[in-house]
Amino acid sequence: MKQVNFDQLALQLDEVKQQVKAKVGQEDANYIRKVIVWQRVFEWSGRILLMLGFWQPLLWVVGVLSLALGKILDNMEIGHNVMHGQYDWMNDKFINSSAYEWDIACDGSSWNRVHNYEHHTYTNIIGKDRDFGYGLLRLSNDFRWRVKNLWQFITYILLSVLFQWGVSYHEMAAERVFFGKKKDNRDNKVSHTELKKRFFSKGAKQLVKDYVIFPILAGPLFLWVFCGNLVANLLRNLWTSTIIFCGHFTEHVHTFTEEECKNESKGQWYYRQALGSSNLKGRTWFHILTGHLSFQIEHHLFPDLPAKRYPEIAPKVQQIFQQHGIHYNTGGFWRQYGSVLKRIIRYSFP
Amino acid sequence: MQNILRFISNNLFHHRDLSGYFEPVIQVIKPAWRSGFFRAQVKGIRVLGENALKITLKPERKWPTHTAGQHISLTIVQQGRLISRVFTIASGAKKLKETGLFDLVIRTHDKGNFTPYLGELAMNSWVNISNPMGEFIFDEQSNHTTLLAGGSGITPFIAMLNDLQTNMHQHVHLLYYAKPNSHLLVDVLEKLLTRLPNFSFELLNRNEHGSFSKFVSIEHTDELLVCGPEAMYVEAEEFCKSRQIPIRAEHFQAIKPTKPLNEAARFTVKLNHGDLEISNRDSLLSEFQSHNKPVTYGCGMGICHQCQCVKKKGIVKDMRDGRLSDNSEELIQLCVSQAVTDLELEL
Repeated sequence: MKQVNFDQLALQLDEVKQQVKAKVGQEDANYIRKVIVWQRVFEWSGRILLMLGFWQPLLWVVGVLSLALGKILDNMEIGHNVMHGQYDWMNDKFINSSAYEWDIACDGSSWNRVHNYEHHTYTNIIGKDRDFGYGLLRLSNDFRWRVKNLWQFITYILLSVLFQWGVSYHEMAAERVFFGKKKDNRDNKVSHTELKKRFFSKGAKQLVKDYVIFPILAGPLFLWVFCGNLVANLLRNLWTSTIIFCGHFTEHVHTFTEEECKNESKGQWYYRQALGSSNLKGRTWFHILTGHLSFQIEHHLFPDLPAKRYPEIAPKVQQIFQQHGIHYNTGGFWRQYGSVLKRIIRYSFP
Repeated sequence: MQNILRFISNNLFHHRDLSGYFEPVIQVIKPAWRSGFFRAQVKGIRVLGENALKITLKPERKWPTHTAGQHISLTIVQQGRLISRVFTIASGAKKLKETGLFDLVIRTHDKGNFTPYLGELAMNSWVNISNPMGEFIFDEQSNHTTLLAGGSGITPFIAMLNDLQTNMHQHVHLLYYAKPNSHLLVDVLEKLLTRLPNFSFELLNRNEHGSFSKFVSIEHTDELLVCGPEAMYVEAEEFCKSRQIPIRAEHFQAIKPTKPLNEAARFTVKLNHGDLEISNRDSLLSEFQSHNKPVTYGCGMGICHQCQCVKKKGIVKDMRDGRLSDNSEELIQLCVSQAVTDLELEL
């Protein structure tokens, strides 16, 4: 690791955290409730408009967009952030990381276990953070090249299209549960039977809801609703996948070895989070739709601060990084996404 | 019906109950609407002396009428955070029936986590209340009842006395202890004196008058009702035991740290299955692991929430910034929490 004054870095970032934590309160509680209200409005407007497609197909298109928007808000700004514990301080019976369940195939508690623990604790440590390439894509020289990497761009497209199923499969460490692969350093805190149950139970619920119950409730408009749900899920999958890829797989994102991170101090942990993540520039609506994962660096430094606070934290973080000579990886959407695609293609080859 | 709703909620709304899915939407129309709570509107806040408030609430119609002496859990929102405390209702069922209102008389503490915010409640704002609870009610079969109150422990007795009929046959004597000039609702007691012929009271303070025992007329006490601090209850219990007088009591003591935070101490943690004695020197997670308690955990630094559990009672310290938690129910992370008092946890 580079020679940075890690103790000072930790002190400065801790101070930023404390300053913001002291401000968290009514405004944040009002905000998340407001987003939930809008989510319900988009979801139900969407579901109703899908049925009006037979009368005016344009309404079906608006319905699909509205439903997709509802699902994106649910998954990103509400689900992801609430399940990170960002709103646990509210003491709300439903808006907390233990109770919240989202509108996606991946079971919330399985996601919590793998994402919050493995990914956020061991961010970009090869061999410990399975999110780096999701075990499907070769995104750095840390991985041996294999023939299957030649067509990994197609694998990436397929993963994006089926992202909710990819996440679900990945989060339950599917390759080990279904195919019995073992890792020496992994402690199975939840039994394989329980994981399989969660995978099938949540997945089935999602399939039955979007492709059986809602279409049946629409009666003769079955197909309009069925197709509308299919396209809305597809749009959500593409959006979430794209945003998440931009958070960790852009050009300048670093990876780390287990050796490098042994006995890591708090400052070194912050440093790794900083170099393992990348931000996206954009307008307020864009940040909301990304669940503020467009501030991936701030999210990784302070995963349990309400995400809405990241824009106000970002300039302070950037200033601290500058003092320590740490690269603050940010850019416009197309530039960052372009570098993700470049990375996927570059590492397709040896 | 409930099972059907739960099934629909689970399968169509990915929420364990429907109200959870719709709650923020309903709150747009009905402020403070919360599943599992009743709503009540603030209709009056009056300062009683230096450190006490009388709050008058108008509960929604479906709230079940209380019996004098019962208590409720009051929930308010303080800076976006829901906090609750238990208070005895200070007015009778008669007032509720006549006016639709009931009173709470609350001793405020400047450094408290709850009562300092009560004075900030706006008129006509909404709070949440629970069902009326408890069986600390007046026994109408008893001919001679002695009431022993300490501080704000006067509240259930005011409610009980207000609900007594003018032509009551029972003799009721109240011994009311408080610091000099800190007795609450004396004007109400004086009015009761004129309305209830068989009622009498004495205003006492510990320094001047000493123990209550000398004021209790044993031959004129069929039952002793006590509401006040724990020390008062312990003394009263011993007194009644030695004289074979039936006693009933109610007291809600705010849990406070009993030892300086930097002093090594051991505390009892009440878990789902049995109790455990732990030290305050290490995190709760380390303590549980050293006692071979099976606990789910992850990062060990307060990030991943894998070791999160519900703290039902007690105070913990957040090891990251030294903040003390509230003593009511909330989520905590075992890896960054240290015990400051005895605890009750749901693992």
